[in-house]
Amino acid sequence: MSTRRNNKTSILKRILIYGSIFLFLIFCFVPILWLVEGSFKTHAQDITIPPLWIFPPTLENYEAILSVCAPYFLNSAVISIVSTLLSLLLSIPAAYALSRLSLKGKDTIKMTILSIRMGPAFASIVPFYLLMKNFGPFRLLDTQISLILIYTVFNLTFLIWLLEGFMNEIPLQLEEGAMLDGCSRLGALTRITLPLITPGLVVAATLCFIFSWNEYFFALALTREAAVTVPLGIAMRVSFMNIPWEEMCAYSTLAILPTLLVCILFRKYLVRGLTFGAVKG
Amino acid sequence: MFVKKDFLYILPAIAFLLVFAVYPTVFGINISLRRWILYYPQQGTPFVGLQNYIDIFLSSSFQLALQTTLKYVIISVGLTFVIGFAEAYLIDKVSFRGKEVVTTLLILPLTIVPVVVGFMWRFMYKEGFGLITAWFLPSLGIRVPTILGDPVLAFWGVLVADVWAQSPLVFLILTAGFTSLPKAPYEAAMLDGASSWQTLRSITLPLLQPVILIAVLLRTIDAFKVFDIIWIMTSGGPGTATTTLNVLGYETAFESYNMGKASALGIIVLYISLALTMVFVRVIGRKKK
Repeated sequence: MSTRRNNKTSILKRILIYGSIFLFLIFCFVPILWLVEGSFKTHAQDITIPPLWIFPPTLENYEAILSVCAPYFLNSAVISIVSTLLSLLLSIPAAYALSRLSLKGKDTIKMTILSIRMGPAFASIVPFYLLMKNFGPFRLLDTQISLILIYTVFNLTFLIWLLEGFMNEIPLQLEEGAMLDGCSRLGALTRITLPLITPGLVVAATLCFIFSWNEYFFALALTREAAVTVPLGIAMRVSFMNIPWEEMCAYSTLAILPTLLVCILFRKYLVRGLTFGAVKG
Repeated sequence: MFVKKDFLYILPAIAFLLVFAVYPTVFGINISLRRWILYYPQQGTPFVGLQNYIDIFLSSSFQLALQTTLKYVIISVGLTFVIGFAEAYLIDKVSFRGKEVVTTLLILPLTIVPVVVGFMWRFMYKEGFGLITAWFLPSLGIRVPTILGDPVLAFWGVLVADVWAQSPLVFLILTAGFTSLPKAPYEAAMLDGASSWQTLRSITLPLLQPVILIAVLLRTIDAFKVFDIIWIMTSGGPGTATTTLNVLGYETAFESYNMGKASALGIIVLYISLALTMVFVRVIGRKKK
């Protein structure tokens, strides 16, 4: 903000400002660098003190970890993608109804929906665990389905809040015009409103994917072997007595790659999503 | 004329939530009023009224976990706020090429899988070869034998990891706030010769107040839910040094298999979160007006 900056700001002050920013950068970035570098080191290099910052990289750790942990990545991908799609399918019409249509008790519905999302996972874990243990004739513990269902609960509530905000910004007249021309309600939603909020949809879907990809608590309680996800796979290995640090670094690097990319691509929209639409970036 | 058909739009979502969110919550209240231990199926699940709740409130493990949680929430929210605010304030003050890159780098920790955050810091705290214990602290002349194995230091070790991962959220929200500030008051303040401290106190902070409230509330709600990092780094130990309410709840449910007591604990924590969420909604509502 050059207009707000005092031109007479002393050199000392500027050094102080840039110096502090630099320190914050180091604080934020060095741990990540350390992790990623660790994944390209051998075990001996990993435990060398003082730390090696420059070294000939090796891909051995990636080969080792992928031969064991590939199913976890597959599980996480399936669970995250299906849950995101299911949440979108359910939340788009719901958000549309809250934004546009005449419903009684709108505020109560919205409030209930938000409190489901904000509530601690651990308040619902016990009943959900018992529910999945005997879901009618089905035993859903340790299946991808149980995690898809519970992640959809959280993603769905989040999406309804976020998408309603995006829809509120599209002028009603656009839809009314289309409907006068013989378009149905559903047609107005799919042909007019949805294309206009595409950026919102992309960001919302991305945040749902991140939530499902990162989630650990439910995965820990609901799965054992067959449906183990990426975070749980890490945790299982970290609890070993002799942690294979270099392999774990490779595993962790692969685990953070999708969310890291997304963050860099959509940084501008993140703030709106993370504050449930309360703050616009 | 649309009323009945309109309801169809929201019906699938409501039906889904009724089955998978509302029903489990009601079921959870039911469980919390029973003696329900999965290890002893032969004992059945007799109704015991509020016994689980009474047991919890009287138990020293609950009181200790509540204290740890409160301490954790207050310090974590406080530190993340101070760091996030400082970052946003400084970044707003400067303009240089590559500022976008710096901003993105400062946000990165927020997107790291929480479990990985826990692993990463455990690696850095590792005795003998961890970046912090074996290199950074000794080069400052500080020698500690162990961080996560020490009852006092473990709490702070976990907290630092949490602050590292969460302060970008405050930074992100406040940066959006700083960007939307009007310019006129600052020009006036400059003409009046106000110092930057005076400008910060009497212009910036009041103008940012709604955004600050949102950031603090979201952080508080999040901090109450913290589990992943603690579980990976210390599993609540050593002893009970890092046992928060969530850790205690997990242990009650999936180590002691005492479903009744765990549900009661869940309901108690749910009420705390609900109260915080109501405040959050009030704040958003006020901001829109």
